[in-house]
Amino acid sequence: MTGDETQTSGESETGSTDQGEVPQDPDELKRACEERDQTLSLGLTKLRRLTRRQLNNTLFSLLGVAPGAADGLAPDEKLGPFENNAITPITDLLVEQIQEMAQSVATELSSRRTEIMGCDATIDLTCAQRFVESFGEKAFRRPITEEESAALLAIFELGQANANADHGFALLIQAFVQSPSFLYHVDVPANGVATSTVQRVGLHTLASRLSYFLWNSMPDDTLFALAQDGSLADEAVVEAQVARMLSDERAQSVIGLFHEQWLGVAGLEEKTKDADTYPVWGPELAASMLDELKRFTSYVVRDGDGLLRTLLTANFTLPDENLLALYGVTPPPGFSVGDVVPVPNRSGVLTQPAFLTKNAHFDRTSVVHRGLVVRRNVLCQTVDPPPNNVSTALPEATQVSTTRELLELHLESPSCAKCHQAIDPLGYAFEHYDPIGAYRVTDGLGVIDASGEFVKTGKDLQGSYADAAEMLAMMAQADEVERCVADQWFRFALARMESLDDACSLVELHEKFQLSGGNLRDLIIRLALSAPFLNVRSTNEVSP
Amino acid sequence: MNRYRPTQRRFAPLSRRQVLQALGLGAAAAPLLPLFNASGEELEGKLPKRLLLVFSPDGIAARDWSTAVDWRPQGSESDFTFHYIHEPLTPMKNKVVIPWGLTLTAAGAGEAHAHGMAGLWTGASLNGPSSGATFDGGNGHLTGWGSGASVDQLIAQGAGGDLPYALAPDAPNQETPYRSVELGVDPGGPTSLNRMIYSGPDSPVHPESNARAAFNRLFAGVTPGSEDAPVDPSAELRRAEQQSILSLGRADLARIRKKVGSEDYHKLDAHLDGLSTLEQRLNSMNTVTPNASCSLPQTPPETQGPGGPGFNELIPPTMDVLAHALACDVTRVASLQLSYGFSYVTHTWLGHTSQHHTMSHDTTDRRKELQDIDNWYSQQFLYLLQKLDSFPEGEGTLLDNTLVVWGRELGTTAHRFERSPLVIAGGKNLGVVGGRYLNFDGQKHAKLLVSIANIMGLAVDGVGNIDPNSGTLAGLV
Repeated sequence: MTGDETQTSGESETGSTDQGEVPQDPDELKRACEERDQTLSLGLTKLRRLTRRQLNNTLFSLLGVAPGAADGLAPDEKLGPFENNAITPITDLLVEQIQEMAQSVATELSSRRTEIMGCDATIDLTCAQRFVESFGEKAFRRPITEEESAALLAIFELGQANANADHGFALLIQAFVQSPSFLYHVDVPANGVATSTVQRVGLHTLASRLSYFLWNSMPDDTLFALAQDGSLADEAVVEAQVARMLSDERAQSVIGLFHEQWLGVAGLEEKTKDADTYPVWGPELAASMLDELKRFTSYVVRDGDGLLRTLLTANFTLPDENLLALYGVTPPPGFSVGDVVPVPNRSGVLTQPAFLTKNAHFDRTSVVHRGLVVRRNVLCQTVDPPPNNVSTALPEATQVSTTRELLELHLESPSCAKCHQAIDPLGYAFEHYDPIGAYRVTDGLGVIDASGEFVKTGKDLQGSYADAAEMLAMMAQADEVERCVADQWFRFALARMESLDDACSLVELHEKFQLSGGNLRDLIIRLALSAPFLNVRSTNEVSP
Repeated sequence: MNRYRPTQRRFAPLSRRQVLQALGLGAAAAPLLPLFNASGEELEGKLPKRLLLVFSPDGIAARDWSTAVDWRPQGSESDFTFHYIHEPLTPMKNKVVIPWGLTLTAAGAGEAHAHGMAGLWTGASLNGPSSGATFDGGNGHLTGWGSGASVDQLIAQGAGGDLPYALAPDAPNQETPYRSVELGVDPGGPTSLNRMIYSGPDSPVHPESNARAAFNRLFAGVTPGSEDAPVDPSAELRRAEQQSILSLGRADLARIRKKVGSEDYHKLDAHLDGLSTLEQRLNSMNTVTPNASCSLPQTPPETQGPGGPGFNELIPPTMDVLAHALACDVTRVASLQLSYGFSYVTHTWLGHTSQHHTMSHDTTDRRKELQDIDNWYSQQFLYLLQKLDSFPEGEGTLLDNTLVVWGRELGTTAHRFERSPLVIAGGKNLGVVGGRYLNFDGQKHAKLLVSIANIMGLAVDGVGNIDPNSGTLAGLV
């Protein structure tokens, strides 16, 4: 099939702020760094709206609002695999949805006025002003100006004059929650003005960067105090804070969130599976799988050896009873959820049910989806679009004995083979795991062949493998995978894509990650102390 | 026809409700009165024109291009029978036009599903990834956003002449609370595969997918009935309070402008626009009078997602919200997105066990099941048309004053754009003669977009950047 004149192939347009593609090849990346002549350069940090998850967490930390307040907002965009609202401008619908969210938060808090304000504005004339000033700093995650607090106080007084203090409080909450200073991440240097040159990030911005990176929520009192008194300018203080924050339970959720998004597992609970074949599938099992992913990845990163190799090859996990049943493992004596349990035929996070189930169909596995996630998210490779108007229907299957043989028909068509020869073998490795991630020897059609070989991969990732365990053991040692994982954590930590201006930072990050033996805990700490994290550049325009 | 004798000529810029109150008339009389333009001059007394765009996913079943199901209606232009996929529309046949044979004007990055989606109502190409935007364009192909405004938004932003709105979008008072309304049932997250309405280049408009939230929002200020609702004395205070909060947001955005680069100004402008729209709504809430046939729909179900109502169960209540919103003059331009390109809906109520898109590329022949899906979507579309037709307006119905166009992001499931199964309905009072099947084989659907614009009163020769001078679809009206 050939395209006609109305269907031209997609050409990437690079915007004026882009400095071109970041090379995957490490030598090219090094050259890009050398061209930058030892001066520190950084990609741009843009204005971005808090995600729904960040709003929920922040409203909880700030006001004890029940989770889910932001769930009515239009869903978040993604940068790479990660939720992030840095690109598309807000829409009228979102502005109205935020207004509705603010009103329902105010209603929820209506009975807690004196508790939240810390004083009774009906008898204490300075109560409202004190509250606006102290609360405003937390809500805006930076000091609040006199002009701002005066305007907010006026809102309270308007409501009080129109009705009573409760109403004034409700309006004040509505105003805070709808404030752009609450809704957006505004990363600025200490002088609070957009910068076209690399500058040290302001300490309040740094506090927010740390808390949204490691907790996906607002800074706590300790971080605010360290920003306020200037201590956070000391990198040793930052390092100590990172250690403190990593040991907090909120970091467990964030490490889980990273892996959930990195491995494309979000939305697992919405998958439907053939109830006749997989009667155990349902929301409860989906929740078990996501919880396991969170517990396992957090354990490896925070409590275990911290190694990427362990993440990708561990023959243990931290299951619950539902998953022990799926693994065919009898609960060890005295078992409780959170225990480390050895499991047969498993090799790290990519052989856990969350990844395998999300990337499988209703009644059969999906070699292509599993392979594609590995190729894109674990090897950081882009897959070229197929020629337009190619028929994606496979040829008629006549005499095949396994799903694999069915899929190998991809290779009979040159237009399919171009991409699928590099995708499918990565997916074949997981064929021992059925659509809900249970281990199997046959797929109903024939005996599983999970072997494959690396195609279109780097020079240190070559050769063939018998199954997922072998493939993942090879990947766990590959520089290519290490660099990709480091890049993904860079995107997650900085809440932006890397750019050519980050070349030197990336080279350094890759080298240090490699030197640490692929230690993820070390990588997280290093990122928080890296030049891109401690500095900011927010515009290409040189200020007049 | 829908012409009404002007009762009185006014020149002062009065709101419609002020005029009604001055005349001592209640809401029931509203449609009998002429509309006024921004300067208070009387327009020819007409019922408002409406536009409704509807989307359902994927193309006509095909094993490959050469085996595409031929869905061409059988018979002549005015005496024909629908193909099976459109058979359920038979009861409304005299208000339906089948423009057979159009090729979608779509191009750009991503898979055909993605640039088909972006081009469906815009006629504009889908941008490649830029500025770090890496949206899913199908099977892992990355894209940016669409590069042009969709025709409904061009119409909604237009004013005067023969357009649905006489007042400019930035006028302080508006004729309707919403310039346009976008709803969806399971429309997916914000990626290029899942968005079809654009207010401009790189500016997708997200549909509201929670029918209950849409109901609460759209009908908040609507009080159907024969008399004006009693005036709430505190309403003006509440309005002023909300105005103050919005003003605070404006001041905050102005301060943030100093802290960000010019690269981010458009985001602040978009937020300012959103605040302006809310301000207009506060002002207009007091002045908009529902049409005579306005009534509230049943309250839609609350929950969504696992355990809640299914995709099929949410479609009728969502259609009800849209139809009543049009009937009540909450808006005059609307769209409804059912699922998304690359639909993962499993039509279990049809006995299916595989997802829609998955079936479209199966190794076995699923053409029968895929046509069952098409037939089922026609049943949904029929429900919508009958609903619109149930509201009397003037000498006809709401449907007669509404141009409805149903489109999909592909021609066939083989990722081809030819012979896309588009359907036109309603619009009798806008010049659309129903009960016709027209052979437009090989013509570009950009022409249909231009015809939509022209029918709605927007005088353009092209829509979108792919075929910017396509002209109209000759013979449609």
